[in-house]
Amino acid sequence: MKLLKKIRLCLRFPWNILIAIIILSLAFQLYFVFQSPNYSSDNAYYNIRQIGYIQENLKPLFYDELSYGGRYVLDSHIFHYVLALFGLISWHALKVVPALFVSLTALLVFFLAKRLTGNNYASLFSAFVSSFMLIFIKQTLNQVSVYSLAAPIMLWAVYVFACLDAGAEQAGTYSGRGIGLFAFLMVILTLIQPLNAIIPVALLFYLGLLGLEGQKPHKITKEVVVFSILITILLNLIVFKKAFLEFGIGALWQNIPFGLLASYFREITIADAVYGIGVLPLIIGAVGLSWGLAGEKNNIALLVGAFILADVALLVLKLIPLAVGLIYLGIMLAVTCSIAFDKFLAYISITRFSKHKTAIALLLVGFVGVSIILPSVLSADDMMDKAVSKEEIEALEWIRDNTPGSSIILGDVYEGHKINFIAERKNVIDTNFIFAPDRYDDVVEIYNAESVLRAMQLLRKYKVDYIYFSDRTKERYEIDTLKYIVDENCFERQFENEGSEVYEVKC
Amino acid sequence: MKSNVSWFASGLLALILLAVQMLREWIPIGSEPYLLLRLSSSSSFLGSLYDAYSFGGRLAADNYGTAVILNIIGSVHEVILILLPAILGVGAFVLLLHIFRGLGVQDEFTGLILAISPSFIFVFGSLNQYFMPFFFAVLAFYLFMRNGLLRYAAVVPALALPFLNFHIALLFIMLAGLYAIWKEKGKKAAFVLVPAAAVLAVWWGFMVLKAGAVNLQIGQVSVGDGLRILISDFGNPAGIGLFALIAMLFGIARYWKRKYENVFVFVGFVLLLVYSLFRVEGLIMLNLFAAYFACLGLQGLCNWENLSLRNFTLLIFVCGLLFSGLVGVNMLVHAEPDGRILDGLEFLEAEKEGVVFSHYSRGNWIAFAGRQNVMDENMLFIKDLKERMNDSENLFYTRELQEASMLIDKYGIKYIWIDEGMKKKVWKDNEEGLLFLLKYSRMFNRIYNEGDVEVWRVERE
Repeated sequence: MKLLKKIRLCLRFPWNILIAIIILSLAFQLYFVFQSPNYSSDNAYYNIRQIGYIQENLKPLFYDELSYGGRYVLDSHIFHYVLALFGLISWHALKVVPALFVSLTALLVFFLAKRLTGNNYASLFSAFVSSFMLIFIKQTLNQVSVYSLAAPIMLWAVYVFACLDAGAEQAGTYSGRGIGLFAFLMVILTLIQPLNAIIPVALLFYLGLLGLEGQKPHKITKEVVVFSILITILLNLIVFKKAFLEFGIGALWQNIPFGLLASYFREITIADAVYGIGVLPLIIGAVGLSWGLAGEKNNIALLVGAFILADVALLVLKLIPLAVGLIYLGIMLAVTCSIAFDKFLAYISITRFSKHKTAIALLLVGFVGVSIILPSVLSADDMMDKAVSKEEIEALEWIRDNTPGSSIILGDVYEGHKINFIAERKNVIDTNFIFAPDRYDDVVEIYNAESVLRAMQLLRKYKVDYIYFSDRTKERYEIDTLKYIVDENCFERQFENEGSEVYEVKC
Repeated sequence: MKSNVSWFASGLLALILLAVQMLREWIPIGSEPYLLLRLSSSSSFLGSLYDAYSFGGRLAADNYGTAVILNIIGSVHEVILILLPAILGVGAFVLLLHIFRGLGVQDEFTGLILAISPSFIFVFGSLNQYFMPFFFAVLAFYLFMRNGLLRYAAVVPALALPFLNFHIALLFIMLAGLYAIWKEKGKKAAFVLVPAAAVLAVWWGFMVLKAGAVNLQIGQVSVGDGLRILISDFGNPAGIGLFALIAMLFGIARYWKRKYENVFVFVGFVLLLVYSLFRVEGLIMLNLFAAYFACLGLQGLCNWENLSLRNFTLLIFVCGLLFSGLVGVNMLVHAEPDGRILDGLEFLEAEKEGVVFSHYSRGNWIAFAGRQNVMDENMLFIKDLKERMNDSENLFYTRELQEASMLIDKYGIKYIWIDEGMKKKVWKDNEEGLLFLLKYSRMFNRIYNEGDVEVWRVERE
């Protein structure tokens, strides 16, 4: 009884719970990220290189001598500058700060859900669900990922828009500061994550849904929507001018090689949604969304619904990568979970179990919590297993210390940035595809080649000096060895450990 | 012109057009200027429509009128030839302002949008096959809009149009006809349009009969292709800026309910939109309608409720329009050819006579250097076009010396021209196809290798 009283006391102060959720989320992430000094994605090393370069030179690396043997890099670099600033305090900031940004998503989900339902506890439920969103953890944990910053800023922009719109409904006018803040967030969001038009498209869907509801949007709502579309287009045009000139509308697909395109831009399936978002958040969020859209006039429910529709539409049209779409979908469904939770609490209140409402609510939260935290733990564990291993570091450091500085190292496409950062050598291919030559098919052929002649032809084409052959590559290509490597006249194994081999190309 | 804005826009346009040429150190852009300059001084072309250097010698009717006019102007002073596009550009601009005023739109701001539009700068930024016919079409339309005797004066430029450019002539006739129907002045319009249509039909019918073939080269256009064709920011220097297009959409939406008040503009727009997917001529004329609607769209911003948003949005549009214009200018300034290519052509000119093989986009330069080409961009009246294209493809990609030798003998090829831009268009690596043969076979001798340009001579033992 005393315990229940104490719980009730704490529960009276939602801020306590919200802070606890944020701290829990942060602690969860930090617990895993500090299990390894290394990072769990190849792209993290590209970001770290840029951050390091900015710290030394105050400007980003525009021409990368190591990537693809030398090429211009096209990126907006805002994210790199932000982390470079924090990185001045300590290099650990590169692990802590992205985790902090991800945790702060819960705060913004809370505010948006509160706008939606007006119910603190329902909003806390949404914040809790979003903190352990599977796909979000999978794409951001220990990866110095741009989505760790883009997602909260996106949410913030949606929240500001929701407040603006609600204010216009009530007072008939828009707050000038609110408009200024929304404009600022749109600029920042577009610069952090260019080629992502989800907010403008969502706002268009919002206008469409308002029309379907028979509501006439406020004039300024339309003006804000037009503004957000135009600023997104202008900034993308400026940042990616060269890419659009070269590829036209194809720049949206970032020159990703055909063989990899299907893995980046895939149509969403139910399995993807379940695996990425979780069964219960998916079901509860979907139920909440349908109640929100079907219920009394609620423009914020329409806004969130429009966002979800826009996200699904962009995924179906393959205009955003699957991972990005799932992150935003998951977060918005977490928001709509608050509607379902609010309705559930309201329902309990009118049943004979109303006296035990708190306990039932806690039971539900516990049940959902277990269903999302356990898979999140497994996912986080999996991500940490994917972190660059000691053996790989050893092999790459061997390359750095024992090969000429101008050597070109062949590695898999998902190891190129590691070769640049750790081994400090040129790679043949990496995942920065814009303005990079198309080498993917050749690299695949090198790893799968059966004849020395064909392998040598391609290795000579790219002037490869060393082949970095890791367990990761073996797993990806489902091979144990390179078939042509038996020719000792042309290939000599220079380094080997449990995780990697390094061969020198001698012919 | 009534207002300061119009003067400013005209001055701005003149500055931009001259700046493009100056930044290129007066090197004409693309391959058309070289074709026009050569034809304008070729007595065989001016006399009998025979081009001795293109496709190894062939009938050439397109650009006839432009070549004649350039010949006359060039005989006065060569400098005028270089400045002619800019002069006609400003002239066309002034006429267009009057036309816009006649159509009931605020001409000053339409003029400003037009002056910085990539498409307009493309047309008048250098000698090409469009600037002269475009000017004549605008002049003819301006006169056509007038009342009284001036309307009849339109017959002069209208009759010249078929000799300058088939598509612009056709579009002028269709648009002027639409205008006449809208203004219910069909009978008076017939005096201008019927002769123009007759001359168009006769002249081009005669050409098709004499050539025995016409290659229209109309292919399928996908959505991605369509956007690339329409929008200058996606790589087409003749395209319309993205923000001009967006403003245009706002203008169309704003005036949709009143479309029947100005049927000419809406129907003309649709006609040109479809035409522009297949021909550049449609696109450069569509640009005029885009500027018209864009001005209407931007005027709609004045009705916005929130002043900050209105000002921000207007600023975005201005930045977007300027950006597209700058990108367009940049594309022209950095377009081929550059000084290195001209040096290579100079070398080629000094060599002995002989057919030069290269990518068709280099054909006009090669002909300008006084050498016959195997193919160039003027494919309209070529009988054996498919055969030449197939043979060119085979020669580019074969690694068989025997096959290459057979094709070289077939066209009497003496030289092979390779430059960096061409390499990117044709091959993926440095030893693909013909490049392999050039590198390893003794049949070819590299006689020139400066600044990414190579000239190889075919050595016969």
